[in-house]
Amino acid sequence: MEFKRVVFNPKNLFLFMFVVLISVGLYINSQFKNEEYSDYNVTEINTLREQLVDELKSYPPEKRTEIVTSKLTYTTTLCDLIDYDNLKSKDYKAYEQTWMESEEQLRDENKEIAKYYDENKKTLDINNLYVQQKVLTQLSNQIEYINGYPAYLESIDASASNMNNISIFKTEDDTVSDNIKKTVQDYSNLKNVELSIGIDEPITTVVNSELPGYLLIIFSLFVIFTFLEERKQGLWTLIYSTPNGRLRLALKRAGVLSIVIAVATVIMYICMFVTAFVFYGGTVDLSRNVQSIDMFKNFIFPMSELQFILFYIGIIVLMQLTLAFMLWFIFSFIQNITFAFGITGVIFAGEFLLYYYLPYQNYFSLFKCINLFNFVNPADGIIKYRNLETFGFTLNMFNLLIIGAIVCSAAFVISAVITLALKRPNKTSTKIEIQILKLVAKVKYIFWIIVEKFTLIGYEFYKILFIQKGLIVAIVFVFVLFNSINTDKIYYSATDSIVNNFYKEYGGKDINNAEKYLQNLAKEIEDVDKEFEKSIIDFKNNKITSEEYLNKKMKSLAFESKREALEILNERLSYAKENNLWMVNPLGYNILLGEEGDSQQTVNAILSIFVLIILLSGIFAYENKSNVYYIMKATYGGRNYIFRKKITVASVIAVFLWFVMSASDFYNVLANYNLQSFTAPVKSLMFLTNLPFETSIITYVILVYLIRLAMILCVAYIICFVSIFTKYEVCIALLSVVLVVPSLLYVLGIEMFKYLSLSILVSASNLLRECAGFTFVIPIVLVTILGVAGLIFSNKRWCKNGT
Amino acid sequence: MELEIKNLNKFYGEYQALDNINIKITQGVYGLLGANGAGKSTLMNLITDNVKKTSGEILFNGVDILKLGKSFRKELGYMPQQQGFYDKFSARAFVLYMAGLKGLSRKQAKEETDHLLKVVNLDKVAHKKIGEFSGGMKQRVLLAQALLGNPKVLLLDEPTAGLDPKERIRIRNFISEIAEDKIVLISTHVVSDIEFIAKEVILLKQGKLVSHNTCNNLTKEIENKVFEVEIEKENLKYFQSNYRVSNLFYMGDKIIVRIVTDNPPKDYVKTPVSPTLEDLYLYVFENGK
Ligand SMILES: Nc1ncnc2c1ncn2[C@@H]1O[C@H](COP(=O)(O)OP(=O)(O)OP(=O)(O)O)[C@@H](O)[C@H]1O
Ligand SMILES: [Mg+2]
Repeated sequence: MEFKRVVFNPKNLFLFMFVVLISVGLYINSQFKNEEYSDYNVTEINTLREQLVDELKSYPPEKRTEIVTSKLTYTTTLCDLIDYDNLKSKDYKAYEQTWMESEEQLRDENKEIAKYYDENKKTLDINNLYVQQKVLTQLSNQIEYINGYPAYLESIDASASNMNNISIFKTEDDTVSDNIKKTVQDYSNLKNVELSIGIDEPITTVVNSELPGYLLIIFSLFVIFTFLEERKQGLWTLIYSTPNGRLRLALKRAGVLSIVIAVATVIMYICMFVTAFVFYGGTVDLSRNVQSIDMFKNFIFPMSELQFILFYIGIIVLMQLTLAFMLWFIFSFIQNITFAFGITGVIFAGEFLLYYYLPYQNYFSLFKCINLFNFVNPADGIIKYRNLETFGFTLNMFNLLIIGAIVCSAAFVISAVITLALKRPNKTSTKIEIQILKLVAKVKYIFWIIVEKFTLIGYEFYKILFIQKGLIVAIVFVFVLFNSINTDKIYYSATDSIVNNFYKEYGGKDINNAEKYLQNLAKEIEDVDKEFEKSIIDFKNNKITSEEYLNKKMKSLAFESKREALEILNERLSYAKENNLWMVNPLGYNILLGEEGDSQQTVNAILSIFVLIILLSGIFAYENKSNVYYIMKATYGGRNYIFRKKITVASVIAVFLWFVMSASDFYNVLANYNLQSFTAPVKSLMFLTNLPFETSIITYVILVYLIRLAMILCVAYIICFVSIFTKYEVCIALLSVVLVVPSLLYVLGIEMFKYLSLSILVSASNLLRECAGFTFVIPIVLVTILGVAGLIFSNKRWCKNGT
Repeated sequence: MELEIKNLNKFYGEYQALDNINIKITQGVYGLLGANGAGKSTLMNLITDNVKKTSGEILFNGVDILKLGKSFRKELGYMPQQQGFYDKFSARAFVLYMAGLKGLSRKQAKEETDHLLKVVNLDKVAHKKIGEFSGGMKQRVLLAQALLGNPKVLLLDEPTAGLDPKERIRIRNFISEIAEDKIVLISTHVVSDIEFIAKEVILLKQGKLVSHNTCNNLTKEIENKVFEVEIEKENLKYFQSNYRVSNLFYMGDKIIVRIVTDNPPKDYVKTPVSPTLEDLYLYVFENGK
């Protein structure tokens, strides 16, 4: 019964779904942003990599290096030749001076490839070649690591025996020598481990993601709250008033909590791993040893990837159980929830300080190791090899962590059970507790005095934000959105800096100055080139020393970025000139309105739709659930009047989400880029050249954000409509499936769901860019009609006479 | 001021919950008496327009209440039977919220809320969550909100269910005090709640109006049908299964039973007594004896 009550509690189930969704969603989002691949199409890389790995595996390991190297040479040569050809066609002179020699040399060294290239120039898939180069480089690094691994192990052995021979360590400090002995012994496990190539990312990325651990804690808190809820109801006192009964209940709950948390953790991590494997290709070969991954070179237990995944999930389950038991203990020991929260906060803060500021060499490093934050994300403790010397013992960090977790979880669960068995439901024992209860009562009183000042709208907000716990969801939303903002300093290449500086100086309507500047720049480059040309001749005629010649050559090379910048800018200038447009730096705008921002905006849109569903599903459903509905409908304002208020509240919440979404967008852009020329025609941004209408950039920005606003409002009204007809839980489930899942599937790469994904409408800019002509109006109008219809029909339904 | 119900029928699917009801009521307290499932709540739900009538009319001062809509609801105070609440509102917040729904100004809302919470004796727990209240306390919160805005028509669906005797008396007295200029319809099966304050009593039985009259007239109907009989313990069973026993008390070895019957038992010593409403209730609702 207890088990059912906890597990089939809709609140818990939805929270769990929410938590898993957020983890998986943010994981995918972060993988899209993964720098390694940001310039490439992930699917292409995946397919190719799989092919290559399969192919390589068919050769014996000794041969693999050779094969990869030759393949890499081959593709790199081809890529280089393509580059040279590009250079040639752009500026032959420059090419002749700087690159001709190197090309000749390259062709000399790889005659056959060059020949092949010359014959097949036209049919080569350039893009594919670059992808190949990328993948091959990766594989070659991997093979290098694998080949070097035995040597790495030996080096550890060697350095250890070296240290052992130095007498100081032996005599002065026994622990050091213990440490060495232990290290050698531990690493000897790995002597016969066979490494092989494969795809590393699924495991490394999941092991590196920290969010699921924290989200699971929040989930366990909610599960624990389900226990507490019972206490408020009368049943508790009735059935479990004897110590014996209470003990039985406590034991039952310990069991329920263990099962729920363990299952939730397992599901969460299975979802994460499955997502990861799907994202990075889909084929799963989990039989190779996990040490084959660079990250695991110091992981001293030989096991396969599959074993590792199971092992890892097992450890996380243990850790999460420890955390859950701790929370359970705190919240049953301290009956006042606010106070318990305070204590939990203090504990976490203390642990945080220990975790981040205590050095490993410290005498008390035990507390850095057996630490809540290591429990939340144990990857570091598992994978890195580290021996701690505390209290005269040398202990392996991993062992410590596991033993610590087991001891702690046992201690917490026993304490919690004892506390529950001994504590009477409403016992107020100590003086401090009485004082605190008094304080809490005062705080509650003040809280109610404030709430009782609310107007009707205020009460509607109170219902959504406090009673239905929407505030937490809203805060998480704001946190997640602003957390996804890129605050790292952006690195500009030399070329980019030149381009940026150019825009700062010459961007704008008047392109004459810009043109003049570019002409000057061209001339400057030309001069340098000429000088260099001259120096070549001079050098040949022995008029200048080789040093002077090299100087000139360096100078010419240094102008390379200027050349590139000039090329880019010239193209844009001619585009502007042709179409009578302005010169506007597209860098920031591209993130706000262009492709660069798409994935982030889509994820944000999905998240805001989901959050909107959670916040608004109860708006009418909540009234249906309570009989207050009957009283309400018998009052003067219980129909149209309250309906209008509720819709106002829904609108305000929608606008708020829109605002947060837009603010995070703008913050993301403005923190890193200068936006300029707001009044320029919008097509000055080349990526918007296909728009079917003319307007200024600022109007366009406003238009896009207004469309978003309209769409999110319509979504809100659709939610309200469904909320009138269904229960809260049904409403959330139904709407999630209809409004969120298609977008998620689309983001995961199933193209056909694009047409069902509302997130595209809510993020708007992709839609406007990619629809032909004015067709983008169709879905917008459609959703608007749905929204307005939702509004009208909910009004009819809510205000109509008796049913 | 008058509330008139004309030929009112209500079907839930096939089931007829109200069968051609005709009542006309004016100022004063009206008691709506009936067994479980008689249709009392249904009648109230029709007056509050929470449920759609199948046919017939409900007129307030001669105008259909559905036509009056908002302006009728402005005059309405309703206390439903089932307790449903925002558990996480304080009592005062809840009543204030209802005051807002009734269109009271903020000042008025505050004054009336505080006054009514005092009336129902909840002023001390006004700032406590309703979820922590006992059943009777919740009942009183519901009553308080029904009285907001000095409604002309007050519908109370079993207002005293779950109240302790002290509160029951308090509230009964309060209702009779304020009833002068109001139409107050109280549904109940606790006869004593309305016996002394109801101007008239309406008896509903399986959706049908059985009778509608003043207390005195109603009890007159069963004059000479109520007796007190002295019996042996062994005979109690027999009486309970053959007569409507409205009361019994022990007197030494004997038992005195109060019965309502058309055919008084012949072989026993019986004293005719003056009938009460409770006797009538039994007479109407316990058939075939
Ligand atoms: N929504 C409904 N759907 C179907 N039947 C209903 C519905 N509401 C009430 N009924 C039926 O109508 C009849 C009258 O119900 P009502 O609630 O009016 O009785 P009541 O006199 O208030 O009884 P109680 O003393 O238990 O409150 C009952 O038989 C009930 O089963
Ligand atoms: Mg009823």
